[in-house]
Order: sequence, then structure tokens, then C-alpha cells
Amino acid sequence: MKRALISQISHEWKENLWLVIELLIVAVVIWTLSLFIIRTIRNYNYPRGFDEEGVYYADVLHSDTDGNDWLKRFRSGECSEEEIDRHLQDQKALLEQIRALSMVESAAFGGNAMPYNYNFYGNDIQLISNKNDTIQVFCNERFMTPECAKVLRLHSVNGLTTDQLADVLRNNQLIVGQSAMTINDGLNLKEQAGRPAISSRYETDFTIGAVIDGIQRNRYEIFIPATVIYPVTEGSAEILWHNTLLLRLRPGTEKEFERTIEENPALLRYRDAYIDSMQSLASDGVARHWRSDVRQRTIIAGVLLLLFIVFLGLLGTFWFRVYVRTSEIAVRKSFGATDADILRRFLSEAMLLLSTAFIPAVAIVIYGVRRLADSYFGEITYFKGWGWDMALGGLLTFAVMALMILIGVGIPARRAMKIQPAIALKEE
Amino acid sequence: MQFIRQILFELRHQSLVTWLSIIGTALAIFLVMSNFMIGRIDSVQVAPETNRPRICYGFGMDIIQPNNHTTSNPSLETAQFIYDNLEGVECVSYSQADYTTFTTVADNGKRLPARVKSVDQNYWKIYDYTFEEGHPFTPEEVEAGVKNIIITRDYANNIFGKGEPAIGRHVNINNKDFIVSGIVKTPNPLLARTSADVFPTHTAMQLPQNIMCNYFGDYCPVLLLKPGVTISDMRPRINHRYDELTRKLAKTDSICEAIPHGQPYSTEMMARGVSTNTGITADDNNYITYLIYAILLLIPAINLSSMTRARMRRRVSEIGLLRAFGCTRGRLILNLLTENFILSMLGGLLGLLLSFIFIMGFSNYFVVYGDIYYVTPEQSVATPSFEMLFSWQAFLLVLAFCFILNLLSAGLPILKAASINPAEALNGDNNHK
Repeated sequence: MKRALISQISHEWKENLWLVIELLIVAVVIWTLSLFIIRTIRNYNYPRGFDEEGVYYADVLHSDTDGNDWLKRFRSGECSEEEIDRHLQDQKALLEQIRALSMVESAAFGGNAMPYNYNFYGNDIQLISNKNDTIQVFCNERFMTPECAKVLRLHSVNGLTTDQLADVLRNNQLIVGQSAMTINDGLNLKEQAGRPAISSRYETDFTIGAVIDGIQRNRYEIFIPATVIYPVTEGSAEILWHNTLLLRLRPGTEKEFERTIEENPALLRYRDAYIDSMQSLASDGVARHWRSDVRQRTIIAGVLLLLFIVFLGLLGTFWFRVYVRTSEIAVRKSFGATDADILRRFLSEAMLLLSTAFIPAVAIVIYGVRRLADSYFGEITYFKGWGWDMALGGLLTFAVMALMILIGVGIPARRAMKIQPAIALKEE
Repeated sequence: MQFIRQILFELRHQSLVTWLSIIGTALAIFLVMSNFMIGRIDSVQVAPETNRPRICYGFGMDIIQPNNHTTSNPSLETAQFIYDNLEGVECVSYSQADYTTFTTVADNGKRLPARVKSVDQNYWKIYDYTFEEGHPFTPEEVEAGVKNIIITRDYANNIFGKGEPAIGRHVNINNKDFIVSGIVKTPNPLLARTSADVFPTHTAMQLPQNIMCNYFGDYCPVLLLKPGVTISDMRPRINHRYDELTRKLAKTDSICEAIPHGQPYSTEMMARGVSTNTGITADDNNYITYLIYAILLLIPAINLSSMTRARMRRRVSEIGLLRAFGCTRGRLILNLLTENFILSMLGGLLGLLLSFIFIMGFSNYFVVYGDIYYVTPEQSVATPSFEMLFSWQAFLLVLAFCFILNLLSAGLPILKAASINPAEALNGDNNHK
């Protein structure tokens, strides 16, 4: 049977060669895309370091006496101490005004604190390992008042609660966040809790009070460095450099909150400190990830279309083969071949062609396409274990293409099974 | 006519394989043309971006300091230092890189979130917005920081009411009172560089400077090049200015390097995603685009080839008869190719129609247009206008792609069919390979 099959394939070698080339191209394309899809799923499910539901935020703005942007003057160093104090009081009062709303569970100030801001605001910190080695780590810098830990529900990797994380910031200690990159690079920040660290930004020594899952800046991207969270107090002038107001609502109060601030715009102002509009982090996430979301859909649609094209090709080719081999099938059936034998013959032929196409596909994907995938879809092969992703991608590609073969070849094969030997041979 | 009759005959007598050929061609042309038309939107010359071939952007800035690496947009001062008085530039506008969403409050008390983009007087020279009422900003207005705004027709209708007068009305934006001085036709939301609701002067809005240093801000210089000047001509001039900036900053801020990353960028490059810390390599993207086109044409061509072979196989005796009656091989090949080309065109036109339907109806789910990174509700449901999609170029391309597909898929089977020995063919030797 096997010998006869190979002999038949070799008789139609030109036609089969084209089919193998087609299967090879499609296999390589789908395999490459599957690598991207697997990596995307992994990234999407990677701990994001925060909980976005119920979080709202806004920049706190300050108006000058003539209605201009006071912060611009402040940042140019043109303001007196009294002026700064007055604006700080206004800003703090605004925070308290919002905290007092019954829907608000917690509220805080932060700088570069929001996830999804796509900011790469970074600097080095030096960690001291338990062997007293100095390790320089590039960190995405975030600045938070203590209650921020509760607003964002930061995820401690050492089992601390959000209240305990808030206490860490209250005690003027650092919180550092590990990322997929630091773990991949063999740097286990989890062991750094309680150890000293030197900040390049402040050029002072800190103690690392807690280690968390790093705050991601995108749902799909995990190529971010470690995170360092610097403690800031609500009343310090430093907060004016980074003044985002963040709040967490009690579950189910989103609509009530939005209606309340819509009907009472005065709630968003205290003397010269004001908020233009509040933004929900969840809806902000939808807007910011739209481009990535569309891209995932496009790639999946592309894979499905390619599979459909393969299906059409197989359907056409094997329909034609059934037509050409009518007499051969009739002879086989007259010699006792069952319907299952005929079906098996066609399917074996197609599967053998698919397997043949996969041999060069492995080489192409390993040596060529992963470079393309890396440059086009991001460093897919950066993370350890990408070989397993490649293997999984290959298996999935083979499985879906085999499924297409089952359908594309199955339909004409069923037609072949219905051939009546006597009628077919009489026509011959 | 004879070819059409032959196709109709085949549709009746070899319906499955002929229909599969048409569907296969339609699918291939659908994929290629959808890609082409979507890509075209990033370079099409449509108001207010009619000058696109001559427009380029100085987007982003990358500065490396000891222990620090910052990327952001430049401040007005830095942007002017690099882009003022450059040779080959007809006009330069210093406008806000993107826009800011503010809750605007009209004099009738209505509150409306609006995308506010701060611009200067040259913005209106580079982009050809259609002014329905009022006029663009004058240099004097920008210089004086006059609190005037130009708004789009849609925004005017939404905040003041349809048919209500808008010129001279007051709108409060970010705690400042502005007066409407012009109304422009609303641009398509997919034109990311020009789509906004309200345009104040940048001097009145006072765009914020970066919190850490005054050479970063929120500006994106837009350059209108003189006719005949290319982006490649501009790069050495801009690199030179960046070198000067590096030297200047080194004196005061111990800056290591200001990196131009291949600035300036065309609209197409901006749409492909320029990053402030890496710039863009246009060639890489072209290479990928051509690879996608090749794959999209090659795979269906292989499929169609086996179908053409199947159709030719059924016509062996007809071909033998034509040969026996003196039809030359060349004539036979030409006839078969023409017949197949008409069949391909049938599929091609179907594919073109499908791609129009797809883009107009479903592109929101599958297509990322322009350099839109933060999508607005308007953009998430926007589709390209007919003039953005339609061009005779598209029809010519369909013709060309069908011709290529025809040659790729039918060339070999037809050559084989035409080389049949008439005697064998008439004898019914259908197993000719």
C-alpha cells in the first residue's frame, strides 16, 4: 500500500511539487504568525501588576491669577514659597473633596504612575545583592503617594497586602517591580526585599520595602525594564511635578460617580486647582490598545483566509484527481477495495504531501523566519523557552492544515467512494 | 464574444472547477487590493492633506545624557532651533504633536469633550482645510496670543446646534475664554495628522513644557518642502542642526547626544509607526509589503494552476481538433491565455468589489489607519471616504495583477495543452501529461 502510494505520488510529481510548494509557503506563513499569536497570548496573560477595574484618573491643573497655566510658571522656578504653599493647599483640598465622595474607595496622587501611559521614564538604581555585589538595574520610574498602592491594587510578590504596601511608601521605602525581562535576564528581584538600594535620581540610599509585579505599560507588551516606585507625600512640593490624581471607586458605583461629576462640575475644582475631566482606566485601555487589538484580529483573519485558500486549492486539485482516476478507483473497487480504503488512499496521499512540505518548513522557520518574526512582531525569540513556542506553533500549524486536508480532500474522496465500478468501467 | 461564449459554456459544463477558479482569483485580488487600498490611504492626496507628497514631520526627539535617556517631543524653542530657516523648506508650522482632550463649555452652557490641537498661522498654509466661515489665523494673531479658535462644522453643530450661528460665540477651554473666528469643513477622522475639533493658537493655549527639562515639550514641526526637494535632501541639513544642538546643549546641560533618527518623516512613514527612540527604516516595511503581495499572489496562482490544468484536460480533444485544422501553436496559446485572462478579470472585478465592501463595511474591525495610537470614538467607527479609496490606478492595478496571476497560473498548463499531438488528442488519449 505504502509503496503503491509513493509510486503514484511520484507519477504525478510535477503536480504534487506545486502542491508541496503551496503547502510549504502556507505552513511557513502560518507557523510564523502562530509564533506571534502564542507570544501575544502569553504577554496578555502575564501579570500586569495592577487591577484596572474602577480606577479613574486625571491631571490636576492650576490656573494663574490671569487664567494662564500656573504649573508652567512653577516649573520654570518663577514662583514664591507662599504661592507654592497656596497651590499645594488647593490641590490637597481638591483631593480631600474627591475622597469625601461616598463612591470613592481610595484616592491618591502620582507621577508617571498610570499604567498604559506608554512612557519610558527611566533611570538606574543600584541594588546590593546578598553576596554584597552591586547590581545596576534600569528601572521605569514611577512616583506615588502611599494610597496609590490601594488605588492600583499593586500585586506584591512577597504576599504583602495593599495596606502594607501603602505603609512601605509611608515609611519612605522603595517598592521595586520585577518584569518579564528582569526574570528572563536571571535577575530575581524577589530576594531584594529588605535590602539597600541606591537611586541615581536622588543619589541617596533607600531600603527596598517591597517587591511587586512590575506595572505594565501595555496589555500586550512585556519588553519593559524593572519598575521602581519612589514614595512622595501628599503635601510636598514635589507632587506638583507629577500631579496626576488617581482614585478607585467602590464596586458598581461607576455610573453614579460619572453622573455626580457631570452634574456638579464644582466638585472638580478647589480655588485655583482643578480637573478638566476624569478618565476611566478601563476605557482608556480600550482606546490605547485599539491598534494592537485590531492587529490581533487582522492576523487571525489572515490565518483563516490562508487556510481557506489552501482548502480551495486542495478541493480543486483532488476533485480533478478523482476525475482522472475514475477508472483506477473502479478497478480497485471491483477487486474488493472498500470505501474506507479509497478514503484512506486519498487522505494518506495528501498527508504525505503535507509532511513532505513540513521538512523544509522546519528549516526555514528555524533559520529564516524567526528573524523576520523578531523584526516584525517584536523580539519573539528574546525570552527563554521560545523553542517550545516554536514547537507548539509547528504542532498547531500542522494540526490546522491537516484539518483543512481532511475537509478539502474528504469532499472529493467521498465522491470517489460513490463511484459504481460497473458504470465507471463501462464508460471507459 | 467567442471567448465569453466559451466561458459561459465552461460555467455550465465544468461548473465546480470554473467557479473555484473565479472564486480563487476573486480572493487573491481581494487580498491584494484591500492591502493596496488600505496602504494608499496613508499617502492619498485628499483635503486637508492635499500636499502630502511635500509634507514631512520632525516628530519626536531622543536625547542621551549620562545615566539618563529621554525621548519625547521637542519644545517650541528646540523645534525652532532645528527647523527654522532650513534650505529647501517652503513653510514650517510649529503645532501641537497630537491633541489634548478638554471638556469645552459653550456660552449656551453646553459641555462637550473636544480634541483641541494648538496650531500657528502656517498650519493653514500647509494643510488646505475648507473654510466655510471666517479665516485662518494671521501671524499677528498668533504673535499676540489672541484667544481665537477655529472649529470644525461637526463640532459647531454639536455644541451650538445645527443651523445656529457660531462665529463670534464664546467657548471656555481649560479655564480660558475663546472666541470662534472660523469654521472649517470637518476632515475625515482617519486623517490622524489633521483631525481635531478645535484649533486655538498655540501661543494662547501655552502648550506645556516637559516637567524635567525645557528642551522637551509638545510640538511637532510640520515642513512643506519646495517643489522638487526630497526628504533625502533634507536629512543631512537636519542632521547638521542636530549636531549643532548637541554642541549647544553640551555647554549647559552636559548632554551627550541629540539623535535625529532619520528625521524628517513622510506621512506614510508616520503612518507606519515612527518611534521617538528608534525612528523608522522605511525599507524594512517596503520589503515586508512586497513579500506579502508576493505570497498573496503566489499561493492562489498555484491553486489556480491546478484548476486550469483540470479545465485544459477536459478540452484535449477540442484542442486536438483545432490543431488538426491548422491552428498554429502560438495562436492557440494566445486564444487560451486570452480566454483565461477574461475569466481572471471576472474574478478580479469581483475581488475589487469585495475589497470595496470590506473596507467600507468592516475595516474598523481589521484595519489600522494612519498613525492613530489613541483611538477616539469617532475614529473607531470612521471609514475612508470614497475619494480616499477610489482611483483609476486601482483598476489598472487589478488589470495588472490579473495579468500576472493569469500568466503565473495558466502559463504552464496552457503551454502543455497547446503542445498536444493532434493525433493523440483526437484518439482520446486523455492521460497526456
